[in-house]
Amino acid sequence: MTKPWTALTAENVAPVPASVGVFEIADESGLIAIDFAGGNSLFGLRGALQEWLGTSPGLSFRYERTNAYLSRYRELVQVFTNETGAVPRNLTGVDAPAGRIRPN
Amino acid sequence: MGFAVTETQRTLVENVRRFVRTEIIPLEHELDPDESELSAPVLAGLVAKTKQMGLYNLDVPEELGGVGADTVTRTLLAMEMSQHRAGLYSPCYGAFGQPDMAQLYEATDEQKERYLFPILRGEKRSFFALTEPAGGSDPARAIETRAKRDGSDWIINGNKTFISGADTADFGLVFARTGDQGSGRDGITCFIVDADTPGLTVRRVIHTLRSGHYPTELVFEDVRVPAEAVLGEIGQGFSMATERLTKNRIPYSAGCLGVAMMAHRMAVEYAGTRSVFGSKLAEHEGIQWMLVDSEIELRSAAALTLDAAERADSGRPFRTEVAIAKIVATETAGRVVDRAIQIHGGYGVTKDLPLERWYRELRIRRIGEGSTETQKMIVSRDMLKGRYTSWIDR
Repeated sequence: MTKPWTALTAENVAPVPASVGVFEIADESGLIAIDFAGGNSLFGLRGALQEWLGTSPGLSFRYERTNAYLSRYRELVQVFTNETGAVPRNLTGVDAPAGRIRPN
Repeated sequence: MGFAVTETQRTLVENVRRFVRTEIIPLEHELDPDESELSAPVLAGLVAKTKQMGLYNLDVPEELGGVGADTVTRTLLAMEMSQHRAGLYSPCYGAFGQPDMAQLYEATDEQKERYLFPILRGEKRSFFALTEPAGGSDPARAIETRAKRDGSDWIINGNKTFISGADTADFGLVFARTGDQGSGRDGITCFIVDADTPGLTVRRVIHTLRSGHYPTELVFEDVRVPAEAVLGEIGQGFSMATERLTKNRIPYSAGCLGVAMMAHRMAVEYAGTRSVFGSKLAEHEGIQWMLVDSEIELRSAAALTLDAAERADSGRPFRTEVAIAKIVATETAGRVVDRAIQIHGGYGVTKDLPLERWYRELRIRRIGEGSTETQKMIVSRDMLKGRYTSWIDR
């Protein structure tokens, strides 16, 4: 993702586009969530990020607009899994994308 | 041209139609509109039902535990199996079995135990690595991946691209040039490569307008495989690949027609209910002509596709007929869905309906499994070299 990490606040989330795409959430320990705003989402990325407001202090986010949100989401999870040996915290215990990708 | 649908085929088609309407479409209300995968427990439930219905592994010969359906039957069923949102790429999300790996029917007993039977039981997933960055339409010349002998082992080096499902597969069929066995099509050998073999890397997912499908780029760096990894004969891998590609174009074409048939049905229904300028859409000549054009084109394309399937079953040459069917089916399906969107107006391009997804995904079908232009080249070559007799001269 090329966009910088930004503090997860209502002011910073408000201008996020209401389009489909992928996003990541981090806390002081590092990346904790990878998710997407898909065709069923209300207000796209903006709506999905708003759901994280107030869940925990000190969070930051970054996002990427993309119509290929499913494959990009899967790729981000697979690269993370390859690098850390585990899925992001938000996908623990759920049907997370399987497989690993090792960019070179 | 011309055949009758048997009573058995009609019953199978009706069973699959009921399965799609009652089991598949209701599930989609909970899914993202672009998703092509179900959770493992839900899919397992569907598989249990298809097994009970005797419809699991339709493509697989009976001696291997499959249904052993002939090509005509599979073509008729492919038209039904694709009539849901994700229909084009996974017939009912894989509930009817995984993509056919017919090359493995030629495997040794040991290879069958290790690779084929787990695939047929749904325990392993595979990929098919033929296309390379240098080209996909002319693989015999484009393959630059090389396999060299090192004692009894082989060492593979090269790159593959647009390889579906390699990121989650357990193994793949990899086509590499084994130079000293000849050049061009005779110099290519098929290897079975485990996905966790050192040196084999999935570099990235390739993002396309296709939804919920995952073509990848693969890198092979000194990938060492044993002599037992060779599938079939050394130097004969390309013949194995083309046989699969040619026959696959029939259900591939039928899948396109299936979604187009559903789109057409939706357009007819919507035109009969939606009012504009004081009358139903269907009362406007412009709409009527669109619907008739779609009906005519669909009937023509289905006839050509079933004709190719019937020839394949009868043991007669069918390559040219398949190429013609593939061109007509993929181009027709695109036009029919385009008209259905036009008739639905603004709703047609929303993700509330599957039309926009089919519209995008059908675009790829004019390229995948051999582009329209490659198919025309096949037809023209066969015509000009006398390998194909025009239907009017038969």
